[in-house]
Amino acid sequence: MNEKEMLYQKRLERYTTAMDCGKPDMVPVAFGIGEWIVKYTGTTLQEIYYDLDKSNRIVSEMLPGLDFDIFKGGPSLWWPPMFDALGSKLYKFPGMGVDENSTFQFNEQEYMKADDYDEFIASPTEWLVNHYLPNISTELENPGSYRSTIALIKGAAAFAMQGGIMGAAWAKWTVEHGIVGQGTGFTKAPFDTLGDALRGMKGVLLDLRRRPDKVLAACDAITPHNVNCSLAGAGADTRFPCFAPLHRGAYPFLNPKQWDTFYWPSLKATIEGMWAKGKRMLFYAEGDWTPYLEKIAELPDKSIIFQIDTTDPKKAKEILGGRFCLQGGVPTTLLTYGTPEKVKEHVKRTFDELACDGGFILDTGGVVMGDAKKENALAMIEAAREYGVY
Amino acid sequence: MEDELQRAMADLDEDETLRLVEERILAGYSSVEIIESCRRGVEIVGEKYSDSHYYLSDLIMSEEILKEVMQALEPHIPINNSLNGVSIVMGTIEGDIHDLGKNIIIYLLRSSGFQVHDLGVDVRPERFIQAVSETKASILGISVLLSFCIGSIKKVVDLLVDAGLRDQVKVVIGGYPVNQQVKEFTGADFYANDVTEALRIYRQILELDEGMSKRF
Repeated sequence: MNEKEMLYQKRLERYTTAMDCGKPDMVPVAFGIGEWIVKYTGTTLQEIYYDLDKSNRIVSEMLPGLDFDIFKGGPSLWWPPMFDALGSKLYKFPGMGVDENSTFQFNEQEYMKADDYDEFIASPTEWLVNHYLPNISTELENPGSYRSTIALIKGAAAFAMQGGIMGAAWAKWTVEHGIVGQGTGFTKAPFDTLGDALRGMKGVLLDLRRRPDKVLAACDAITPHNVNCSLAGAGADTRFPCFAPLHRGAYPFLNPKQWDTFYWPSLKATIEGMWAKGKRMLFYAEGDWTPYLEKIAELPDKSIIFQIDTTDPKKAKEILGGRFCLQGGVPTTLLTYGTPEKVKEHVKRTFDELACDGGFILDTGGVVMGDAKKENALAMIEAAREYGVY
Repeated sequence: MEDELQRAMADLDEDETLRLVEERILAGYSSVEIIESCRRGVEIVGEKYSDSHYYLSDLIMSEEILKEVMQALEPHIPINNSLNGVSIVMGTIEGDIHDLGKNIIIYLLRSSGFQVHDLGVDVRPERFIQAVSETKASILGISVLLSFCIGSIKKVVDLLVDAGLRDQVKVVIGGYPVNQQVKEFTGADFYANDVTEALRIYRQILELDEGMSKRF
């Protein structure tokens, strides 16, 4: 085993021990090289988004100087060419709808109308292909047409190209730098699939009062797809958790009765369905989930890693600690408005409060955006090594 | 005396609210009377939200019902909005297209008699200054969700100073990422992470500014 392989094994051991609520040799630290890197590399965000080779080269150059365990990835979350090939209405990308140094934004609309529920519930994927794709893509407006067929081929090719490029980059990072990836696969809460992508936030929130039965039936219809998606997209890997960004379950979108009735049952069923196949969820609880911690604690032990964003960390530790690994602890705003000293103090305090008996991964609470300062990001991982030894 | 319409609105009973509005139009109630009942209902919705009895989904429902009430009233009677004389300019900052929080607060402020000039989303700093100057607004509300757009809020405040308008307006920033540090960085006067806190701030500003409001 060479030096990098040994490093990989050591980091993997740290990560898996913490995931199973154990106490490794030191607190594992998760890190992503986010859009903030653009300020320090003389590029624009548009170049980073469109030119994956350039983006991956920047990551490759940075990795040797960084000591962390779990890699959350580089600054390219999406590859716009696939969306461009389809004439996608879903996103505005840097330089395409927003400024070349502004991050991507989701263009939320009611892409699925209230009248579409029955057809969607009867066969979700069929409805997506026949109606959703034409609704969200100018090039796919006339299914079966010459233009639409060409666009589909181009889009599929772009998707595969991105997968190939990113797969090769991750392989290189793993072999050359001994880094361990955070997760494999992608899924969502069924209510978020419905609310984020299909009905839009306002649409789905009004549906809760106007057509509650349809919402429930749609969430039930989505659930098996979301279980499958977590594994199929990950090549059936079960070593690493599946990333699931969670949205409308955060306080205070839904009232407690709505949360119990509409959000939780299908999300719980998704997690239990995944766990039955050995797949854990990175329960990426964006925002504040404090009021729902008791419900979340009903899940099978270790079936999730709970991400602490603005959830009360002490309550999360008290209610979920010991049975579920916790991840987070560093507010994203601290990386923007703090100083390296303040970041270090905060990391030390976080370890005292959250990491003491294991089952904890240090990370930023949410997605770190372009406004973060490099010196603060680096201070976080330096402090993790300084104070993180058990 | 209990007002059925007010209660239906406060209970977010869409069908019952619209039925009662139709009934009252036919019975010859004035638009002001009907709107006033609904407005009091919305006030209760706001209070219930502050008490954590209602959540965002409930606020959005109440906004939707009130919109339908207004549509029902429009063809019948000209709407005479009673205003409290306070003018507010509001918008989502440049680079950001999120408008949920902004729309909810605008709706609640308008229901309370404020005149709100909504500049929409992705608003350039210069546009805020122009609007404050043109409307003589005493409050400027800036909404933001994406933290990297916060720099543009600072630019708005700086431009207000340059234009000699800074003393004329109180700047309130609102949204998920704002906090004390962001307030200090941007030079804003107040910050709020949620609607309840925002409403408390608007009340506070009005109290400071004597005689502006009688009703809020």
